[in-house]
Amino acid sequence: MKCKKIKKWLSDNIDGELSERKRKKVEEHIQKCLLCRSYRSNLEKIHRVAKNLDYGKVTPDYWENFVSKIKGRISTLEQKERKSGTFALGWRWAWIGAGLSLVVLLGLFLFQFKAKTDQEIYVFSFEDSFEQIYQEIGDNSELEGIFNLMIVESIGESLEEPRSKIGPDIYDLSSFLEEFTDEELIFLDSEIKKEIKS
Amino acid sequence: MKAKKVFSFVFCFLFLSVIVLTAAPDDKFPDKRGIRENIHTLRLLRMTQALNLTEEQAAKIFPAINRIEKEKMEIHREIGLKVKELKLSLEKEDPEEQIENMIEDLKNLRNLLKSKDEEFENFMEENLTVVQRAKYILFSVDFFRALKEKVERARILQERLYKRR
Repeated sequence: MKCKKIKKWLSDNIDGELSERKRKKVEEHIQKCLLCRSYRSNLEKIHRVAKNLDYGKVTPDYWENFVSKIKGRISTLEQKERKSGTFALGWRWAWIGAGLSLVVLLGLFLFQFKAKTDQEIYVFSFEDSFEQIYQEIGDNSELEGIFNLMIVESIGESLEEPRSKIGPDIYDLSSFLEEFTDEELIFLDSEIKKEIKS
Repeated sequence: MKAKKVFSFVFCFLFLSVIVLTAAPDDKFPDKRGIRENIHTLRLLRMTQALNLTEEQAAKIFPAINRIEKEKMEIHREIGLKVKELKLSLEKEDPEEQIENMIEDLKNLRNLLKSKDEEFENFMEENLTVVQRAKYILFSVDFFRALKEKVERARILQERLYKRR
C-alpha cells in the first residue's frame, strides 16, 4: 500500500471519519513503515496542540465596534502614509533643486568660458587681414591651394560671369563641401596639386 | 544700367591690373603672390558692391588702390630680401652692427607698409560719403570674417580629402 494513501487515511482517522476496515489496514501498515509511524505521531501532536489553543472569548460588543475600529485603523495608516509621502516628495524637490542649481552653475561657467575664448578680433586694413589669414594658414601649402581656389570661386561669383567662362569645377567647390562623390574628390585633389605646383 | 557700367569698369580695371601685376618675373614674389592678388581682387569687387560706388568714385578709387597695392607688394619684396639677408648674416655670424642695420631696415619697411595702409584709408575717407565710410568700416570687418570662414572651410575640405585618400 502506498504511503500517500495511508497519510490521507491517517488524517481522516484523527477526524474520526475512517472505517474499521481501513483503520485495520492503516495499523498493519504503520507496524511495518517507520515514515508513516513518524507522520502519525506528528499529526497527533499538532492535533493535540490545536485542541488546547485558547482564542479568547469574543463578546457581542466586540462585533458591534469591530467595523468602526477597522475604519479608525485604516485612517491612521492613511495619515501615516501621507506624512511619509510628503517627506519623500520634499527630498525629491531637494534633488531637483540641486540638479537645476548645478545646471545653472555649469551654464554660467560655460558662458564665461565661451565669452573669454570667442573674443572676436576686429581687423580693418587689407594688410592686417592678409597677415592674419596667413598666420591661420601657416606652412600648409595644400590648405593654401584650397583656400586660393575658394577665393577664385568667390571672384567668379562676384563678377557674375557665366559658368562656362569661370569653369564648372570652380563653381562646384561649394557643393563639394556638402556632398562629394569619389570622382569629384579625385578631380579636386588633382586640381589642388596642380595649383600648388603652379 | 549704372551698376552695369561700374561693374564693366571694375572688371576691365581688374583685368588690366592682373596683367600688370603678373607681368613681373616670378622670382620677384616667390610666395603667396597669387593668393594675395586674388584676395585683393575679391576685396575690390566686394567693396564696390558693399559701398555702392558711383562710376566717378570707382574711377578715382581704383587706380589709387592699384598704385598703393603695387607699392605695398614692392615693399613686401624688399622685406623678403631683407629677411633672407638677415638669415644669412646670422648664419655667417656677421658683426652685430651690420645685423642691427638690417633690423632697422626691416623695421622701416614695416612702418612704410603701415603708412601705405594709412594712405589708402585717408584716400578712402576723402572720396567717400559719411555713409559709405561707415559702410567701409563694416565691410572691412565682414571681409576679414569671411576670409577666416573660408580658411575654416578649406581646412574642413582638406581633412575630408585626407580621409578619402
